[in-house]
Amino acid sequence: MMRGLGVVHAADVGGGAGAAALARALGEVAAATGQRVTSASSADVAALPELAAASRLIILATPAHTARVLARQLGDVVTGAHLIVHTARGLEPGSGMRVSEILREETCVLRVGILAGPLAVEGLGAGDPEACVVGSRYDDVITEAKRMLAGARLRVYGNHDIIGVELAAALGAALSFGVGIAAGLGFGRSTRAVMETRGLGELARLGVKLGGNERTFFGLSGVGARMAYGADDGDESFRYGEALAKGERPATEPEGVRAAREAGALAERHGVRTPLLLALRAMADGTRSPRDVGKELMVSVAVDE
Amino acid sequence: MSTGAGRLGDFNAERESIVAEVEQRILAERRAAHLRGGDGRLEYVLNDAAFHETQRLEKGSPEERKRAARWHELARDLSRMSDAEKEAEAARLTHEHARDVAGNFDARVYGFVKNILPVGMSLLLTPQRLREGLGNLGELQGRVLIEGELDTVRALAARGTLVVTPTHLSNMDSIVIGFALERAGLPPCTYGAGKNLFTNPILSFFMRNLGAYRVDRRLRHSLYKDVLKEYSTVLIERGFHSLFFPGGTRSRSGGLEQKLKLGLMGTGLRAYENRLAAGAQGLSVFFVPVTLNYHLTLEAETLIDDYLAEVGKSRYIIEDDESSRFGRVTSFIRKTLAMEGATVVRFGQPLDPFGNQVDAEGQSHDPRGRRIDPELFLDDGASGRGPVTQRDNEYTRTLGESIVKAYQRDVVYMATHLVATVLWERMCAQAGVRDPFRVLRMADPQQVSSELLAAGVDRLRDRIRGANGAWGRLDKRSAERPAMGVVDDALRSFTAYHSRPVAERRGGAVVPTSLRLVYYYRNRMAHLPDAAVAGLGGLS
Repeated sequence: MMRGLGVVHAADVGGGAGAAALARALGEVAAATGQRVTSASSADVAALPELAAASRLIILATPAHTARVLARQLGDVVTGAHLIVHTARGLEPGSGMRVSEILREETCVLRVGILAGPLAVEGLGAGDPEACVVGSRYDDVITEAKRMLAGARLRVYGNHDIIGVELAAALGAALSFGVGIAAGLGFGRSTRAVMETRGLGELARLGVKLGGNERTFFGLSGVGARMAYGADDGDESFRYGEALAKGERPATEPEGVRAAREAGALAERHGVRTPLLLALRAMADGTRSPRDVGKELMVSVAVDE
Repeated sequence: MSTGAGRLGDFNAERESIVAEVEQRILAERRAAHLRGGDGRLEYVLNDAAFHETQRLEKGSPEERKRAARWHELARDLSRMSDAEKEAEAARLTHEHARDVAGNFDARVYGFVKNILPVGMSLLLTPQRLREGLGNLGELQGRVLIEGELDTVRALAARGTLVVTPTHLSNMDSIVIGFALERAGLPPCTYGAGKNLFTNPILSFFMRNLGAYRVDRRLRHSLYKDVLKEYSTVLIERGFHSLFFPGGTRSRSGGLEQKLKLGLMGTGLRAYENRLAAGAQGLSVFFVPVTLNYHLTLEAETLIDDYLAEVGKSRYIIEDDESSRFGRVTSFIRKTLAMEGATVVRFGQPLDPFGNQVDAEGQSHDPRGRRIDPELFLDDGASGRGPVTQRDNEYTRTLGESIVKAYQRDVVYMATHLVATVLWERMCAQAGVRDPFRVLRMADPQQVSSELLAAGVDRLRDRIRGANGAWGRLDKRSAERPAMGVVDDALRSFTAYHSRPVAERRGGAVVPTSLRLVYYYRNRMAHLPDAAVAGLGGLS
């Protein structure tokens, strides 16, 4: 096996466009550090055997909803010697599974991880100093990702708490949706700050219940990503929340709305107290109005931080 | 003449060289760590031993306090000792521990046990046979059902080393799994047994002579743990089939093991790596998850009390439980095993040291059933395929997760578990909470009509069947009988053995008479998702 980097990405259309752009950017970063990079799109299955033969580390750039199909295709060509890192910011629709769990179901690869954090494709392209975190139980994965990607343009941090990193990456967008609602209701920055901090606290509580580490949610994949993608009118989830608060319901649901549903469902399934996340889910589902929820949350009992 | 003891029959001839190899490996590794410096230096290793032993012995008898003083002296002298003196002290300790751990295998005792155990158990089950002559002793096979992937396990026993990893509920388990291995045509295994069990008059004779090695759980220092792990590694590497109870101790709650102790389990991977390094070809270490399933548990009362007293913590040694009282053991066997299929030993699909399923040809498969080469998991991308501690620890954790999943698939639920689960749900509904301690404090649990109980059992059985094996399986009798028959079976067992009944029938209703034992037997199903038991408490 060669020791190059393989980058497999979802087809460059629809929800896969962002993943494909990230794949290209990461491939360029690796090439700039002198690595041999082999890329393939999910539309080009025939290229996968060659990619697997040339690479030890494979980056799987895909939205969560196409992860299983891609993972299964990869499963036909990878061996136990490979390492796979995915970039999905979501959970599998329906099952609520993390993408690393999907990789474990669909491939023989045990050494898996996630690349997350406040990484912006535009920033990478422009040569801005960027940073990300690779979450994996395995030192091998973190070390190899650093060897492939770290350099003058990108700092790569490691975290053994893969569960925490995946959940923070997958569910953080729910807060953009919530902050959008707050903005739509005309609330100011302090309300948004409460939404962000209490929301992250609830996500951390949920993450701990699912086996993650609380600290992870206050690192690059949690707070870091929130500060980068968070809540402004350049964000689709924010705009959707804002519109919802004004009585509109846009046709296309962004990732923050899906994340609100997933977070609420997980919290309910595992019996974790998350009033804010449950309220976001109710608003995503249309069973509660933003104005009612706002009033209700204000009169609910405030526990100690 | 063959004793049927397989590779273990050679143990005594190799015992000395096994102990020597363990000592030599540990000392070589410790010497290298000492030279690398840092926490691996011998003064730290010896100080760790002195610290733990002083702590332990200072609380003990006058003789133990004297020994504590000697450890104290060692700790005091460490800073003045030369490297050669420290190495000699480490060698002396390693030698002492390796000799203490090493087991013994007496083929004559094995042959005797092999012949006498079925007779003894059958006579206990059916004493009238004494009057009728020994008669048909095959009945025991009806009492202890042995099922599962037996052909695959037998085939793998001939290809490599088995590491059998059963669930652990009772001190009876060692005897039952030994009996099951023999009856399944599988070779006997060496296994680590708590040193406290060697004080049990019933068990110690068998333990001493059937390949058990002694594990002294009171010793907490790293050098002793090294000896245990290396001893196990050498045994597996040399092809001695091994058995661990990966839960560590008996399940106090009655539940299936959810988290496993990985220290000894990791020796399977290390043995595989060592064999590859020595030039061996192919996969040669196979883990075999086994569930031991009983209608009733011999020590249920002691175990659940211990669990409730120290939730989340396992007290390592219970010196005086039901298994140390001969009368209770015979009473248990006679009254509980006498029921058809009262014990089920189920062998699961074997696994490789990375947690992948293995077929009868010794081939590993990924979760989608594709054949894979396990050796490639050891690829480090650069220098080769040697051990890498952090990675290997994670692989062993993965193996542990696969074994837990196997337990959940292969657990066999009996009438007692089904009925206790429905009763418990009923009690939770009555208490209006699911917190077990609040439910257990209920002063006056209500009776449940037999019909409602049977309806709950029926619904629970349907859900387990509907999960297509993912939630475990029902024992044959509980699967086939009408639900009311299952209730009758459970109540018969519940009133047969324990010092007070678990639940009993009063008129047309059933009354839980020992909530803690209802909780204990219900815990066998506690790992199931809420959907398995939803609504069972509110049937009307």
